[in-house]
Amino acid sequence: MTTTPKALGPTATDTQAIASAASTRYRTQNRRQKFMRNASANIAILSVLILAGTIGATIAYPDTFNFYTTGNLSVLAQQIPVIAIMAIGAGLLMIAGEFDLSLAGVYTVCPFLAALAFTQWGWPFLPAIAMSFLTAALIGATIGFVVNRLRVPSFIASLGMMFVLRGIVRGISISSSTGQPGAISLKPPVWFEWLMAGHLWGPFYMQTLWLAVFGVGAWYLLNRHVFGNHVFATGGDPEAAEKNGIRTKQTKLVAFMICSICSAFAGLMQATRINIIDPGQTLTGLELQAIAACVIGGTYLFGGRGSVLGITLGAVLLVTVENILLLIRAPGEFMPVFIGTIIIVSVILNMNVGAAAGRRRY
Amino acid sequence: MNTAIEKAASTRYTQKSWLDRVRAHPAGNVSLIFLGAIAICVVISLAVPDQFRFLSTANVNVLTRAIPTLGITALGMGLLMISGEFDLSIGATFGLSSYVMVLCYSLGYPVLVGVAAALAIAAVIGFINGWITVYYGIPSFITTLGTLFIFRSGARLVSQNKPLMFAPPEWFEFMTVGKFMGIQMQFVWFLVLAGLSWLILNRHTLGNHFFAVGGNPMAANQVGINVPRTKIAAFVWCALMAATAGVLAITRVKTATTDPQVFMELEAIAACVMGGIALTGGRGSVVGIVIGAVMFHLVKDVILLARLPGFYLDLFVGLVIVFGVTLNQVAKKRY
Repeated sequence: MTTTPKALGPTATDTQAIASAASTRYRTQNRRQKFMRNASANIAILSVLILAGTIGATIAYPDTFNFYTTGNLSVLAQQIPVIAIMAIGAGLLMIAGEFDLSLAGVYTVCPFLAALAFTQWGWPFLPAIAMSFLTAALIGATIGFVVNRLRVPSFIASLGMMFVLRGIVRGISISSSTGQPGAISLKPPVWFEWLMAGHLWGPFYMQTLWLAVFGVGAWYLLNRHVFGNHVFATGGDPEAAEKNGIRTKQTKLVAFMICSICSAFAGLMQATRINIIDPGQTLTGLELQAIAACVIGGTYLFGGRGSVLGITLGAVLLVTVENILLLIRAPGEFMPVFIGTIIIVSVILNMNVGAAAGRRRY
Repeated sequence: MNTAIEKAASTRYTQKSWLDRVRAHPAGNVSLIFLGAIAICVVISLAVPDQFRFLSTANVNVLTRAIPTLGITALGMGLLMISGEFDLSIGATFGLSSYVMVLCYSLGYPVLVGVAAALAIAAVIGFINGWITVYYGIPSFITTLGTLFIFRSGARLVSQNKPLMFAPPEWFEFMTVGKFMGIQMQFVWFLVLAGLSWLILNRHTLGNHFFAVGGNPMAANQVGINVPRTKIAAFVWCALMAATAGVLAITRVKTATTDPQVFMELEAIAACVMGGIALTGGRGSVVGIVIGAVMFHLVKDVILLARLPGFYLDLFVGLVIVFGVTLNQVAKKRY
């Protein structure tokens, strides 16, 4: 008696059965629900509203509302990338389930070291820049080590690092003439100045291009590379990820390093544009702004959910709202009110609309 | 019968040494280090009193003036963290409520009315923080990050960025920042409030509820604890403590400004975590908070006394935070 070998894959009837089972199990979602499941759904709607509002205001008051002028747009194009690149790094780390509160420290220390090496220690330019990025990677790796090996929550580890970096900035910024901490200027070669802050066309600057590079790079890493899968898995459910053979500690370490390098790059970009690095930058609350941008952009605070588009739009929104408030000459006091309200409202929206559309509830 | 049970018990449970028992306490490790550090400081300052003026009246005064601001905010933050939430907006609460107190006084109301107004505003802020967090179910990190921005600008709107002089009546100054038998009154207030926090946490139902809600909110709900109300109470307590710290600090410097208090919230959280309070809630002690806050300034003080360059200040504070928490993590794993 001969037995026919068992079919290796699912047969036609199997496939049909599976399909029908699936159709009864999972309600098909309409287009709205599918869109709302996206991590950047709310921020996209909010951005479109702001876009519509600014266009409407420009049509209504073409003389007084100067939002769409080359001058204003180029201000935006130079300001947004700084916070957006930091937010992309912080967001990637947040998706992996960790925080970094030392961003503002890295943002100051790394360009400062580069400037110090180049202008005072007589290093050639490229090694100075390389050294500053290495320092950033080292800072990220240190936080990662403390979090992974010593099991200190990243909130505390990076807070400690923030104090350490503040101390270091204070130490290295003491000028020999006054004995007080002082600002330093990075005097980069012309080609580097162009590379970091050059003017391309109209309101577009090199910073805008860099933001695109970082955005696409992070998108590729998160959505098209195996590392992104690991990041989402690590942030979503570390134990499950670990059981699936993902080295969560290594993933976190790399995420910490990427985050630090992003802030160092943003710091270097800003230092090149305004040509001064002030030790007081550590106290400007940049880390909270970067986290705010991520959260507004739909990144889940405890990891496992988020998108590069959302994070970038979050940063764009923060800077644009500030810009609009300046344009309509609102008192400076109102600016933080808007940021605060947007943060709270967007998270409430993310949660409620998300739950309604079958998204994971907070 | 009894002897058999006792015998069984004595074989089952080995008596832990006192060291193990101390270290099993949430603040055990850090208090041992604290005592060690104090002992070393005292010995060195007795040995070389001229180089290391740790025990000099001036230094003790500096310490007892500096500690209460951080300590009182940390007391509020600590109880809130035990119930599982954060408050990043205490810097704004600190500025706004103390400014309102000075404003009331400068408008001609009695100073106590000003204090009451400050506390009332703080209570409202705490309630708003708690209400948003609990009823929308968003992480308190986000809520208070948002309200930090909102109340900070609220404070600036009230003050129009103008500093306000404060010349309180003498009895009020004595009660808050005066010297009583050689001890700074701020420090007395700090100790009184620490005692009050201890009573709330360890001798009142509310404290039990704080621990339960922070440790496991679901279970707390199951046993009939009103989780939203408990959390809101913790938020209000935290804001009240921030306002108290503000009142004491402003009375000392005699000028109310609403400059943003950068890092106040992070320093308070750091002090609490150093004192063995779990970031995730449900674990902690008042002794730990107090020691955490004192350690924070002790490190700074020793560095200043040892005449090390200023940049070591932040550096060491950072290292001490990470080191303290590492020790706590080790303790949590072992005991």
